[in-house]
Amino acid sequence: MASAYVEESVVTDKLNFSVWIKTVKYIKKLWPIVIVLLLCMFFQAFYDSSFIPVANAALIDAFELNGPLIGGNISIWEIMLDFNILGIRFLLSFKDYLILSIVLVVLRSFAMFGLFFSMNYIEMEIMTDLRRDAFKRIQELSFSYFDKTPSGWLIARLNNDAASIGEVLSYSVLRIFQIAFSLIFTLVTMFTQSWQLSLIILATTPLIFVVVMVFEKLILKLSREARSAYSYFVGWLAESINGNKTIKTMAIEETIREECEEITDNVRKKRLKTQRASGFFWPCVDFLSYITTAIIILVVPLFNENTSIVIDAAMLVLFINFVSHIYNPIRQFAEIFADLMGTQASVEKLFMLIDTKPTLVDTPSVIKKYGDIFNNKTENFEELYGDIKFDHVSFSYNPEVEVIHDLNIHIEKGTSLAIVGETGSGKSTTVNLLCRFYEPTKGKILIDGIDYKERSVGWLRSNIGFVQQTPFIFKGTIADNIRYGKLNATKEEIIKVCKELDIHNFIMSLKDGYDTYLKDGGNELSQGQKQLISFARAIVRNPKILILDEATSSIDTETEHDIQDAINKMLVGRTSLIIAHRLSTIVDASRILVMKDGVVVEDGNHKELMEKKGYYHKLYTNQFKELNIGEQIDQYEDQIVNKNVNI
Amino acid sequence: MSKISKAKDIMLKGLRFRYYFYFVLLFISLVFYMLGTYTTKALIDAINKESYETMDFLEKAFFDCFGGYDLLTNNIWIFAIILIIFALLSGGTAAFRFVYRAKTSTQMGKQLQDALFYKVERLPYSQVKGMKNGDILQTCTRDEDVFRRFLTDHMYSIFYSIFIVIIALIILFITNVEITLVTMALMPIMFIYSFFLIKEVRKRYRATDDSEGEMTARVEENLSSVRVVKAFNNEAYEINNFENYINDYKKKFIHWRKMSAFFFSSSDIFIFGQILLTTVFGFYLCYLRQVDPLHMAGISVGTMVIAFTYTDTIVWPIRDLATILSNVARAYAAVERINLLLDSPDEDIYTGEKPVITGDIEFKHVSFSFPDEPTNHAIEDISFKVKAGQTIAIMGKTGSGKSTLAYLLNRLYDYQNGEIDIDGINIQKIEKAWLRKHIALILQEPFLFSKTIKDNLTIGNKDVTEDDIKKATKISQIHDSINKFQYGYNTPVGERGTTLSGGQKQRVAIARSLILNSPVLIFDDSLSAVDTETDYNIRQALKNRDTKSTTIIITHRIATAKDADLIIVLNNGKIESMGKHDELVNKEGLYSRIYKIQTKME
Repeated sequence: MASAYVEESVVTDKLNFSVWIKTVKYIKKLWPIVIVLLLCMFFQAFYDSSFIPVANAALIDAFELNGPLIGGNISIWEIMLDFNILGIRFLLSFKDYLILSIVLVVLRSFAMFGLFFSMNYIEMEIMTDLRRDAFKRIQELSFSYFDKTPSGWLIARLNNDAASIGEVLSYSVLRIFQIAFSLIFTLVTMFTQSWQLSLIILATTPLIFVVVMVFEKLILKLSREARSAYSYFVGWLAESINGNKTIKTMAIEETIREECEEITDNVRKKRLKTQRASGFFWPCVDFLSYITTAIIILVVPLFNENTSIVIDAAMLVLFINFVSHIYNPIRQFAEIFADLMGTQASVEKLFMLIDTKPTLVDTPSVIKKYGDIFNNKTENFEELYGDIKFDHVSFSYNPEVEVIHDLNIHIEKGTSLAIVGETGSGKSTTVNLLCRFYEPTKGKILIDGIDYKERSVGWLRSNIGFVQQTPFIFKGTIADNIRYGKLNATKEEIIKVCKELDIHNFIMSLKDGYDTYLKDGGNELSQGQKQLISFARAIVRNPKILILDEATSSIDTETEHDIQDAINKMLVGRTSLIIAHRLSTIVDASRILVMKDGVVVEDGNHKELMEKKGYYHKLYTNQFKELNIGEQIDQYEDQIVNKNVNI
Repeated sequence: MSKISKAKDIMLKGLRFRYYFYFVLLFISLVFYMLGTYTTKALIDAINKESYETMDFLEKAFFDCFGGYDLLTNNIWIFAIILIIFALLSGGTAAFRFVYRAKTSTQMGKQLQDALFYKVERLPYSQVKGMKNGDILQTCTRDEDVFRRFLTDHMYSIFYSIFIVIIALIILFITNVEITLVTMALMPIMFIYSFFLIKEVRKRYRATDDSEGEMTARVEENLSSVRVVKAFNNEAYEINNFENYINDYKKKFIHWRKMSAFFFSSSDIFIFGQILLTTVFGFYLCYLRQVDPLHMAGISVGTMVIAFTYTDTIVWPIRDLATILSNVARAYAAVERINLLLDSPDEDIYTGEKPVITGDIEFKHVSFSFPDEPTNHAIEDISFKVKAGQTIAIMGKTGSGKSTLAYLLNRLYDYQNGEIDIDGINIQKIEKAWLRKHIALILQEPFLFSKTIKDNLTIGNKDVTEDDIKKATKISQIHDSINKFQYGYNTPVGERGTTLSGGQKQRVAIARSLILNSPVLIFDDSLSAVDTETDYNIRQALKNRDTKSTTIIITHRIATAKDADLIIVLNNGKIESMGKHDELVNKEGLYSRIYKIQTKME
């Protein structure tokens, strides 16, 4: 179950640029939109950090500048405002100021739209590019990768990591520019007004910087703890809901209830700690900005000793505003820093996936002739007849443990070969090797007399019909599900195959026939019915080699006979390999290979092997005992009595 | 509001005063904050030496309070002190209220989490069986989270916005009525505009979210079908297919974010428009006073500054308010699901008699049908008697009602007809918890918790000794295996620990039940997961145990059933035959047939 996968959060404390450098490629190709974004940010920073403060100062100063107005000798429209923007000083009438302001408010809105939209666009592009690359890589990777990697891990990369990287790159990394612009505009505006006051404000910033960084780090750490306490609770809760029956039958409600209280209390404590830390953070920062403002009030008069006015109100308001314009970017910078920290592990993990090299690939010359898995050159594919030979094949999943030892089997065209053995005997591995899900570590596998590595993976698999233990039903119609075996199959072909397998009537009995839509996992159908559909999927490609990997293990008794009939029909004219845990499925096979610990120990048909009273006999009787009473009776009648097998 | 009362009552239990008092704290701290900002106005007026007579009573009071008009206008530095006083007051109350709030809201969350879990734990078995575990989990986690946020964070934000607007307007109103009205001019329009636009944003968000869900489902499907994809060499098809999902998601994502970008940028026109309007109108009112110092509507420069500062303070919370209010429906949906769960009935496991139970069991004409199939008898007219300490075996095909019989005995289900007695007392009169503590039912599917083996073993009774534990694990033939694990009895099991095989799990589960020394032991096909030899050893060890329990073994192995004092063969919920092994073997029927087959197979 993929959704039950819980990931441990990795704690990062240092920014690692070599990790982030990998993301540059994804931003770089979006450069035109990045430029639009930067222009929008530039304008917005200018309006917020330069125009508004300067305009307000000019308005406050206006009545000083224009002298006494008693009696209304100057109309309000003609009052002149003294602008000092970025070192450029000019006079503007109130009327012009009003027009300019309205225009700028509207322009700012356009800039904000551009800013938001391009940020979102960049986020989305990066996110989908990452997902696309990761998905493509997943398709290329070989089986050995999936053995080691839980699918939950892969889903977390594709979903969460891709999304959070997209978000961080657009909202956090690019916002660094926004902060930089507004800092630059603020600083330039400040210094062109009064460099002395500016220096005073700047002198207090190291203190705020330290406070912000200390708090951010603390809050980051605490909120991680709170999150992990909560996800522990969720995991515990899921388990306790699943174990409901056990809790009831043991009457341990009280014990579990106490556990619940303990765990929720831990969540409460951790959350409280986090919120307490942020509760002190904001008042602290606010207080520091008040202190800075107070310093300005104390200091401003000192610079104005020569002038007739004791203190300039406009200058005061201006610099009080600058305090927040300096403090906010520091705070935002700390937030970005926290975002980057939080996402670094995601970047590492996602790129670990994207950078993984597939281990099972065809040689360049094979690819040149037959194409790669995404582009098969089917016109160069030779016909496959179905003669299979394992020539001194050995195999190990990891170097220390060999699971197949020097296997030599010759399977002639048209044989139906059953492979039996206990779990771990190597029967599934043998089939996996034939499908080239893995390659032999020693020896070779010859198909029609030629080493299968000399032809492409695509060539081999296009000739194999594969049925696995749990039938896989894709979301889609029944016809879609069957067509998955041959993407260009016509409706007629599909119906023909279904008629051959005797499942046409069953499909037609469904509400929409072949167009019956199957939801996730096809739960509308019984396990047996699903398996019949996967049979049709395998047969529609008219394979020369048919592989049934435990195809009857999870079949309900109702459909067992239909399945058996269908299997018998499928085997005709094909080389087939049947792995079955349920021995009843293989008693009819023309040849049975009994495997134990990676070697073939017995070889023959059911009757011969039972009479031999060897390993096969033991397997058979053991398995029989595992059956429930009804099955024991049925199987006994069917195999021992009717077929006259000696036990 | 009655709809949310139940979940709300649980959250606020014992916290009601603290919850509401927070709003008072919030108000006080905002008053200090706004007065801190107000200082700027007084400061500017003092610098410009506005005459005391033209001031409103608030400003007069301000000046009087801090040493009088003359002192302040001549000693501007005092304003720095005033500012710091307000900063301390506002910062102090803010820190206090944040911590106060954190204490309350985290406790509120805990209370609801606990209450929901108790509920889930106490649901009758028949009801839990009919619910999806995932849905229950969703309600206990995500819905709880949404509702708690609504009641705390969102409520606090709503009142923050309301308070700050009220305080700003009151102060402005005292200062100048005209500027107050202008300050409010665009706000209602912006509120309504935001409220409705954000709804559209949400709608598009949901479409995007759905699309993302489908994309994720596609990825999951691809990953779980890896073998099929590769075997059919459909990798290229999978990539193209995934591209459709990516594109659909992309389209919806852009559609959504275009709207949200439009929402923020267009409502910015209202926000900056309002700030500009206040500024310009404030300037006009200033001009009026400059032209005629006695003009009724004229204002000082300080008032103009405070007007646009306050405007800047209130416009953003108003937009946030619209955003929060437009999302209330989500909290309602969450609380509805929470209440639905809270309203389901509890199973009463703590009332009833607590008689001494020794293990005499009698079924008298018991019939039972499952609630969802009332016409179909799962158990029909079953009668038998077991004396304390005896062993009985129950056999039968799948679906014949073997497990149901066990569930009836420990009252996971209650029978409809007949009577089941334990020690002569009808089990329906016995307290359920008491009954279940005395009947150790070992389930077919063993379930262990993600704890150490030892904690799993002692979960039913924490006071057992090491000796008791070892005795039980030796009987269930797991002691040696446990000792072979890296940490022995302290080895954690489950996802983050050692994975046990099915047979090992089952043996731990058996030991867990044996430790309880219950007078009744039921093996619900739980010996099938272990091999015949271990099965035999366990049964032998049970015989030699000090405690003699009435033992009910549900099995399909003749060897397991053979020695029982009574063997019951079930067929379709009815007793097909009943008796000792010797009697049944010689009688035509299911038992003798299976006996013949199994002895041949030995």
